[in-house]
Amino acid sequence: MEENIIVSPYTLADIEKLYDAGATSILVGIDAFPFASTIYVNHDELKEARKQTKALGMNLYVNLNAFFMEHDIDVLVKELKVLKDVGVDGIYFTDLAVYTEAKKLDMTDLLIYNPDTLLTNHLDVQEYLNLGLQMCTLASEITLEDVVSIASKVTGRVEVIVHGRLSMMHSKRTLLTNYMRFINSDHPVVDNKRLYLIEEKRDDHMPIFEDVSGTHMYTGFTLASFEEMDDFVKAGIRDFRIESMFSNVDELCRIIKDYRYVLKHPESGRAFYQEYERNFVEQHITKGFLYTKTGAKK
Amino acid sequence: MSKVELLAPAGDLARLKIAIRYGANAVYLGGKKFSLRSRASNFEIADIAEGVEFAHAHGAHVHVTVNMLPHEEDLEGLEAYLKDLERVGVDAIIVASFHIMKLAKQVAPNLEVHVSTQHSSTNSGVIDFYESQGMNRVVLARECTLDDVKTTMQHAKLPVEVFIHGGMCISYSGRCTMSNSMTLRDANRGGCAQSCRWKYKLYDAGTPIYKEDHLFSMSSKDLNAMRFLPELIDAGVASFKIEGRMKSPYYLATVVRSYRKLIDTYEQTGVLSDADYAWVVKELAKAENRLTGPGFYAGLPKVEDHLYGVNGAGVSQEFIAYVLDYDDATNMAKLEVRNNFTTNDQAEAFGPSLDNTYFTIDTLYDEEGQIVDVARNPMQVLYTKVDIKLKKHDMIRKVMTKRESVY
Repeated sequence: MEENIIVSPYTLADIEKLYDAGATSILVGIDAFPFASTIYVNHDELKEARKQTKALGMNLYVNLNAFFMEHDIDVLVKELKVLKDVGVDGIYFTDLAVYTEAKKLDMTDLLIYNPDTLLTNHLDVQEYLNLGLQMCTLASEITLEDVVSIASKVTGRVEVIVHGRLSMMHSKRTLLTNYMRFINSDHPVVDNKRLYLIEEKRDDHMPIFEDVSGTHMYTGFTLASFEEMDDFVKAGIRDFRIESMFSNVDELCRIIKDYRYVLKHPESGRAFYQEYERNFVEQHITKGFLYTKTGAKK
Repeated sequence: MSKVELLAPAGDLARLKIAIRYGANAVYLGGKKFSLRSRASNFEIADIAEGVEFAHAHGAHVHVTVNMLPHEEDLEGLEAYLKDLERVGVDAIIVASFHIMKLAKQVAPNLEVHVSTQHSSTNSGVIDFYESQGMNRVVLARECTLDDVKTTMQHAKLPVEVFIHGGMCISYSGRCTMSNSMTLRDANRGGCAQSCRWKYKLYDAGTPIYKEDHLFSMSSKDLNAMRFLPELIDAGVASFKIEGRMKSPYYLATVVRSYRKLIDTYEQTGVLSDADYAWVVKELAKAENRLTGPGFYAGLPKVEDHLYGVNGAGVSQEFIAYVLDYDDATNMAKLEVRNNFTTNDQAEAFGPSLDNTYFTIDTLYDEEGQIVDVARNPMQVLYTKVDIKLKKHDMIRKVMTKRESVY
């Protein structure tokens, strides 16, 4: 079975290009619950995306990663029904209310649990998979050894994020807007994806943006896992996501092509990593936490 | 209607006892294993057992945080630890890992399992999920407004706990890896470096858009939910949680006692007056060194709810002595020194059953009966005559003149 490469387009017109580059799944956000996506679609656009992806033999996944307040639940249920009717192939979620409502609609098999930081060991992952979910996304802050261990031990599908800037913080607060008010600036910050932070004693450029779901901050490095793809595959992982928030479609297509090539030619992984490290210095290409164990204590 | 629980942090056994003496119905503490804030803990199982014994003797409960998100290598010894907690009589554990929740239900069924705020639960659908999995309580996310809490409570199938006071994560709890990325300290395994409170330069495509004298920061004011207590009680919230396992015994006593008074007053009279709130504002200002605000209870935090360019407010009073004993016949108090003070200083005594009472420090004597001019050695035992009827475990603070307003 071909490995599943999951990416987010910037417009629906990108889908065919991404397919040609080697992507097999398209992930889109929806207007009803915007949450850190490259694209948000309404119901008609979702149907169009379904039509396009189906014609290309691709999966269509939806980002439903928001935290829902009590007053959102009715709308959530309506959206789940729409997603079921449209026939999407998967729904990313982090709020377990999605599971509760999806269960009532007999659609838990579509759910992909993506709680950012929570899935760091095989026993937790297995408990969630046992709920009848389609897949779980592993935390990005664990080592290659941990990823391999988890994937080898669980029964069911796990996804790893293999490339891109990693989500580092999500606040419900409008942190950028508030700061601009504090310094009496009218500089536009909402939905501005050109913004980044540099800590006063460090050098990393950490992207930050604010949207209706709050403020999102990303790592100062760009993860690249070319060299580890073979380890992932040998551990039984077949689902790989590329984060594309701070790329464009041409850059994304190149990344997809390179990962597809590496999947076919694992021995080329090191050369690709070194090439990215050399050619994209401003992106600060690293291996993230794959070989860096974070400490349990101060 | 059952009385709402006042749940206080206990960084060690001494603070556990103070929290309960000063009015907490329950305390939460972290053991040396499987807990965030592991740095704040010195609770071995024997200490937890002693804490449980003390708490139960005073009609209070003990909750133990088992809220680490374990990595593969962290799982060893977990089952035995859960059984130990059950064996020593712990009432509940606060858990973030779904595996630990399920395991606890299997191997230590007498422990209540409370779902940690690390899960950022914001609605009754999440509560339904945990109810279906056999859990006993859900701690709501601090991102809920008062209306969110109230509407959630209308459908909640499990008891709900909310935070009412203390530090706030800027991120949804548990979803932040700033500390991991910037310092290699794992925020979800007890190593949070609070990188959100650092200062940052903000750029738009290379152009600075920050002010040099006020760099960008993600530091939030602490939460103070006192004005929302009546509606939270009326909504049926089961437990009010105070954050701060790292805080001092004096801070803990002051905050617990303040909320105890508010809760008791509301439960007895059905109303809290501006004077009640004003008393608490004044009281808390004597112990807190970070500004406070309403968190999310009043809606999405605004610019005034953040700390820019300032990290502390300064306390208006200083904890100077703990009352070890008091002789009713001679009016001599036996004090343990905590901060510098001297004869003739203006002081204020307070305690679990003593209202704030001002007095002037009389002549100080050491244990040999020699006169001491200045109490300058922490933990030194001194004696002085105090005409207020003090009791063991009362506290004394020095009157200073700093900030008194909160919000």
